[in-house]
Amino acid sequence: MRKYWKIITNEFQKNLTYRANIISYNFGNLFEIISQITIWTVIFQGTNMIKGYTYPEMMTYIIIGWVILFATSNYGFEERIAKDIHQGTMSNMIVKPISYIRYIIAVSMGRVVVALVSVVTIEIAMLYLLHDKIILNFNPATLLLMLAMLIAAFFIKLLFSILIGLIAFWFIEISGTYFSLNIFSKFMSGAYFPMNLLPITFVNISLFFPFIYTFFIPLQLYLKKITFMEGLRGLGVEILWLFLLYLLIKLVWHFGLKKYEAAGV
Amino acid sequence: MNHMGVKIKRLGKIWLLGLYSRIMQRLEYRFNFFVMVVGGIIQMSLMIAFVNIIFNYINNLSGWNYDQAMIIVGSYMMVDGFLWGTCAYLFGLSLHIREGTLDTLIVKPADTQFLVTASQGDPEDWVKFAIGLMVFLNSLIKLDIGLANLMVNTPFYLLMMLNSIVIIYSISLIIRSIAFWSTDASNFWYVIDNLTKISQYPADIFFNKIVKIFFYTIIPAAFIATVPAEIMIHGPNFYLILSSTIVAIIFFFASRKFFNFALKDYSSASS
Repeated sequence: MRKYWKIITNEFQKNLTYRANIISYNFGNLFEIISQITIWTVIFQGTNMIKGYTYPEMMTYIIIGWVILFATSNYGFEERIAKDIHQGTMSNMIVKPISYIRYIIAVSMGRVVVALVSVVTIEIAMLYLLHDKIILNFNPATLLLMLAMLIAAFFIKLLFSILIGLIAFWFIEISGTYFSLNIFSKFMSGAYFPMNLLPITFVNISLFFPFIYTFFIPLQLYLKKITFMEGLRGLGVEILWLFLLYLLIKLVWHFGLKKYEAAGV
Repeated sequence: MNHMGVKIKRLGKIWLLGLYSRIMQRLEYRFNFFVMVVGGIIQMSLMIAFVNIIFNYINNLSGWNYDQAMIIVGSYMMVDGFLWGTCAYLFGLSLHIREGTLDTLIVKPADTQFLVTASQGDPEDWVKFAIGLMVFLNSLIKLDIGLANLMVNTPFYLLMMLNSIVIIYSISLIIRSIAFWSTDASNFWYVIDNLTKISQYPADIFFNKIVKIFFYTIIPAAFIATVPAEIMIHGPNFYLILSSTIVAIIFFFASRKFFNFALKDYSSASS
């Protein structure tokens, strides 16, 4: 375990070196929220409720959703894994007494800490500025369940990224796959706009994928649109997906490694 | 004058060769190319879906009805698609600087800024341009602005679109040139990407005066799609045309100066 802890702290320090890069990423995304807040403010000037959402609920969906989105992001590990496979740099890991998958998980954990600090700082400023426009839910049970859901969401997204990255054992170019799947997963999670603004079919279909449990369901719990028990069920589904994805990764790794050519050795 | 013509012809040839090699490169992995196109279509469809959702609940968005708003969305898609479809190298500039692969361009006997701008385009992003054009034409037909108005407005609209391209390009070049000093500036583009994304909505949604001034001057997002759409729908407004052109010229020359200044600090990593 200590070796993975070392990887986490190394990655954390490495990311601290490029603080401006991470801050600029979050700062850039801040403009996305500003445009979302502005556009929904304009829309709500003409109506009081949209598909069951009041103005404060929609603002909460956008602002709290922003933190969820970035707290559970893993910043493109598909590309890194594909590179490791194609350039043969994965060989360095394979010959060492550590698991490559766990190594990637450790790197991701180290990376998310710095991003999380900057996101939380921006969020606190936003909550301070917009506290009268949003719904604040301080129910400890809800917050605890949300935290558990978000940790599970982070790992679901990460394992999904790893799974896509491992496709590179068979395909040379996978940029299209992860580009398209990232758009699809973001849409299916409700990060573009609340899923229930779409026809009910979309919501029903999205329940068969893990993504809705990583964003939309935790937010519904926060907004008290679903009960605590329904939230717990959501966490259960997330855990099931985690197992399923982990098993899939093990399977793909097993067969993929046989195709690995260790380029450059 | 003849010398200038030869130079332009040469640059055109370089651009075509770059485009050809990129298409060949993409077609080498056809499945990946196909998936990228599908991804682009989903991305554009989501943009359209969002506007449709909005207009399920309101009749106009800060004075813009559905078809007028779609003219803005279509114009934004065309500008975005055009830039990614022709200037993709620029969007990966920070990576080339960090890894030292910019060397391959600066040693060539052509203007470095031109090479950085046009040596590589992503053909899969042409689908964005195509969808944008369809959205634009569909809304234009529905608006029925009349043939005479169309004849007058179109040249000015095209000029405004050219200005939009120049403005986004210039801002992108300035932001990406920061990578000459910062080792890892790969995420700097998020700032500009999200700022330009704002331009897919009418600039009039920014009711706060300070914010409005910000989006007309410092980051002139308003000139990217709202102003061209306004010219197309309501006819030439010489104040807007003049300001858009001046802003585009200022940003272009500022970006060129900044790029050449930053280039002096290129450390050519790994060479």
